[in-house]
Amino acid sequence: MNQLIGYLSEGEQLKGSLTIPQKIGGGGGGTLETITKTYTPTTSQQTEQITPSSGYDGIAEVDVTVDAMPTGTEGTPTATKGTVSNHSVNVTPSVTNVAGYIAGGTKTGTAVTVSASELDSGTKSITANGNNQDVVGYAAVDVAVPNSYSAADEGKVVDNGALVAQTAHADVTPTTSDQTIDTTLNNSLKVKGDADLVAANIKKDVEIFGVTGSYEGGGGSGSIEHGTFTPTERLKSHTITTEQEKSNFVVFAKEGFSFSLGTAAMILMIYQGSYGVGTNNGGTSTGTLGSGQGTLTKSGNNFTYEAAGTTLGSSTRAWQAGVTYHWFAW
Amino acid sequence: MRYYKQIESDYIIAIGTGLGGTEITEVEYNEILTVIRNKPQATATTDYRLKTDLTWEEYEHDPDPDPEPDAEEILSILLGGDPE
Repeated sequence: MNQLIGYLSEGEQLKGSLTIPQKIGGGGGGTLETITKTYTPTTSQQTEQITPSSGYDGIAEVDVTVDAMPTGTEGTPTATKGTVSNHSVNVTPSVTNVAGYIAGGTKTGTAVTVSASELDSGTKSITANGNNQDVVGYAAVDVAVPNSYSAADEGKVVDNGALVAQTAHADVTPTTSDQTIDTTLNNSLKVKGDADLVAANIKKDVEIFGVTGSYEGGGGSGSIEHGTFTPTERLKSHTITTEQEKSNFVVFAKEGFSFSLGTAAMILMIYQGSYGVGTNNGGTSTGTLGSGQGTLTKSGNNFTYEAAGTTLGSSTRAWQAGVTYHWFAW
Repeated sequence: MRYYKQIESDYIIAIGTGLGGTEITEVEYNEILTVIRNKPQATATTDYRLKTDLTWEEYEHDPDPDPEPDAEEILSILLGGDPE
């Protein structure tokens, strides 16, 4: 049954026309829409309000399609490892410095990129020999120490590659030229000395090993020795000593003495042998200078003149105080 | 050159060059020689001895009976004759 429901006010007249829409499902008029919906099942409830699109008076039909649920067994998913094929990957070198492998010092803090020329490479083998050896540029260095030593090796030397103790001894005798002594196996050297290496045995002004000679004699017959003495008081006797034993002559002369001036002077001359005042008596010579003069004796390197007289006061030709006497012996 | 002084009983009786005595330096030799050159004048009965401290000590002695020989005596000695 169609039914019009409405209200008119008093005096109001109903106008227009009234179209009774077709009764849904009843074969009446109107435009109805058929709507198709597809849903994929999820784990949550899905709700949608469906309304007719514009231009439709109602919905004639809604077709709902729900996708099929995946099949399987509930539980922990499983997978099967497959084969991974080789791949080519382009890599930009990025090197974090490890001390000692990058030349030019340590680079710290962040990753650094180094070129090949900056990298140490290779291994160098060296043998310790006491000298500094350049190992720059090598990533690794093998050092070989050939031998090790202990306190017991103190003082030992290497001889033909073996460590041996020094046991030899060498004497060095000075010669006219320098000598170089191999001290490798010598634990001691002795440079010989000679007690005769004294100034008196060396010719005057000649230096031998730092000793300057003072000897002025000739060392044989014909050489003349000279000396002086100056008594501080009148002396009855005085002895002079020559460096080498003289056998022939000794002369005493007062300093400043001159024959031509005829001054009072004392000169004693002893000539052993041919003439007068001296005689030779088996190594000890005694010369008589004349009555009241004195005697000259010789013993070894010594010549002694002793004035005559039992006391100094009674002596004549005694050595005079303050007078310098020169003597010559040969 | 070697220099020496000859000492007897704390007195320097002589100095010299060559061997003998106690070796001294040239400086000391010259010092003593200067002292000797300035010896006080002796008299007929007194003389002076040089002590090791380089001071002179006076002493008495017998008169010197014999003067120095003159040139003729010396020549006589040289020729082996008796100068007396």
